[in-house]
Amino acid sequence: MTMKKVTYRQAINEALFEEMERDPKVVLFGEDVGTYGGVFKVTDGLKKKFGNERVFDTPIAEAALMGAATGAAVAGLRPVVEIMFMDWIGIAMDQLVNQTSMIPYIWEGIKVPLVLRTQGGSGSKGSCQHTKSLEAWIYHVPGIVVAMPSTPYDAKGLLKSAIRNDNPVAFIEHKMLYPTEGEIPEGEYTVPLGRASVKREGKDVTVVALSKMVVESLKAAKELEDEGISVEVVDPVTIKPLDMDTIAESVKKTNRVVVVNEAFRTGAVASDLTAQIQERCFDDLDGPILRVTAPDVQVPYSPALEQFWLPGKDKIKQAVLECMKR
Amino acid sequence: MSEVSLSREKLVDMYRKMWLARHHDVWVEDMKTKGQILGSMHLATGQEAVSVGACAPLNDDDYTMHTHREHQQLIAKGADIGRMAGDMLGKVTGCARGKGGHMLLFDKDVHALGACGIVGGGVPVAVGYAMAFKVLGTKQVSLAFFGDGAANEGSVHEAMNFAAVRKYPIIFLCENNRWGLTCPQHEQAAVEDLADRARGYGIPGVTVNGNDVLAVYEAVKLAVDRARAGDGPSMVECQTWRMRGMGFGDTMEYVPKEYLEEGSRQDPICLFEKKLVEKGILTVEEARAIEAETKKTIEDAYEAAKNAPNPDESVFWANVYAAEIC
Repeated sequence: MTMKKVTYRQAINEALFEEMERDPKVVLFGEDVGTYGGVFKVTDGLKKKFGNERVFDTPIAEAALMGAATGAAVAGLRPVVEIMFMDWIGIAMDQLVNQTSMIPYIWEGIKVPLVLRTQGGSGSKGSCQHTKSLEAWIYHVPGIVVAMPSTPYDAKGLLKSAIRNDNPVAFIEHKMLYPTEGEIPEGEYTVPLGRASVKREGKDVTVVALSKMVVESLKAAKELEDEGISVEVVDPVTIKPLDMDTIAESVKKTNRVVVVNEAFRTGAVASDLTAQIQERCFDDLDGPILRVTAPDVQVPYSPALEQFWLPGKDKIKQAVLECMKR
Repeated sequence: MSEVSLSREKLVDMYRKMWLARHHDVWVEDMKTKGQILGSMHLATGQEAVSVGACAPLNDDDYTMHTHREHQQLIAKGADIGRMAGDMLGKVTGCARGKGGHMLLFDKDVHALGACGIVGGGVPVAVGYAMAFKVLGTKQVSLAFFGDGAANEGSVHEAMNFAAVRKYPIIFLCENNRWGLTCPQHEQAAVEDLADRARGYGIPGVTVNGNDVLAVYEAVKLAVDRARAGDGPSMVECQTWRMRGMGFGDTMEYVPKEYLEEGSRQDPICLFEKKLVEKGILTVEEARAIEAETKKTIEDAYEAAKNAPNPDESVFWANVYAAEIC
């Protein structure tokens, strides 16, 4: 297969482009996604290609966006709706929790095939209202598939699967990943929802990492290799439903686990993954599962302060070393 | 009362639906009093003209979004009474197979999709229906019922503005019974006629007597025609009387007795019947026959629902996700 190098941003753009071309029922809307092409330029060129009924800018009204996407999905479209910053999901949350996720369960026979695209993550000096990772909120609610790809390859293939899927899918990108590069096939491919991916094989410790933390974990793994520690990095890719089989298989081999999630510590997805792993793999564990997360502190602006918030390579290394001692 | 030239068949059908709606709410109130229906209960006894007048200009394939005081709205849209009764009693014969109960009724066969227990929460979803109709180029319209209480919700403002900007085929039907929970309208809104707000969204708005079924019909018909012609949304406010409490068990001490007396004088079924008899469309005997026949329809439906089987555990687990994920 011929491969090409693209950024995470381009990969998502290509997925949208191809799916809109393939299926006239796919529509894309959100704040600034049309003429301007998105604040991160992820939707660049789509309005020009597909026109103002299928790709359009909306009022700044996140509840209406989420609700309208839900209704449009019920009535026959396959909407991709963008909430520009995940921090603003609060405004859309009632729709997501009380409409989108509820409808397929209560309104028997009705499907809600939509994709909610949003992006979270810090490192952009965005302060408290443009940096949060709130995937745990959505993860908590039954009925929504939650995906958090970390590579251009996964981002493109997974978004295509998400658009074709008949369930509501929250597709959570990371703003700091947009310029990162990776290889993808020249031609058509998809990545299935609900399948984890082993990003690096190792035998001493399993690091289960989400989104950008996969990149940080791979950096940590590389440095730890020099210290003689072999780290396996597992990326769940889809966090709900979780591919526990792949994680369990890794734990069986390494007997040690660190879970990495760039989010407030209490009630983070990392907490739940930790619980799930110990329930399934208790007999395979040689020590406690450690978590690397952000602390329960708002995200500060100053680079001098933000460093205390951000989990990353060094904190992951520390956790792995700690894990090896126990 | 308004003059509208409708066929005898249509007028009698509207009259019949008003009686079905009335008998329904009287019947379930009685069952609730006897402890035969569980959960909460919001009744619209005396508001039949709003539901019937609003749904009469719609086709089966037009979509409606309903409130939490919705039984009559669904009956007006043509929902199957037997399946409704099934849902009301939590039986497997309901559209939701008993999962939804009183506040989440729906019937996809007539595109009554559906009731919503979150005040104002369904209105953005109804905008999504209209989005789909416009993108897909069908001539369907969406009609969103909401109350005077919901009129003050952010989701409703967002939805109305969004639909107005996009010129979606939707009718915002405000069923104004002048009480939001236990508080009078003047404590919740500074305008007397809520339809005045339509101007602020750049759409037509009209206030009509919600106890005059023909006035409601006429206003909604204009709005429907406008929507089908591609001229965008309208708001129709129907002012009516809430003759029952906020919910079942509400003792209504806060409601002035003059309000209830006036509501009784304005009984929409009496007003309509008088008109039909005066015009020679219906004899008093025919009217009494319809009154009796519709009562029996409701009784039979609930008797059948009482004897219907309960849902089993497979229903509990069904459709958390409505489709395969991978």
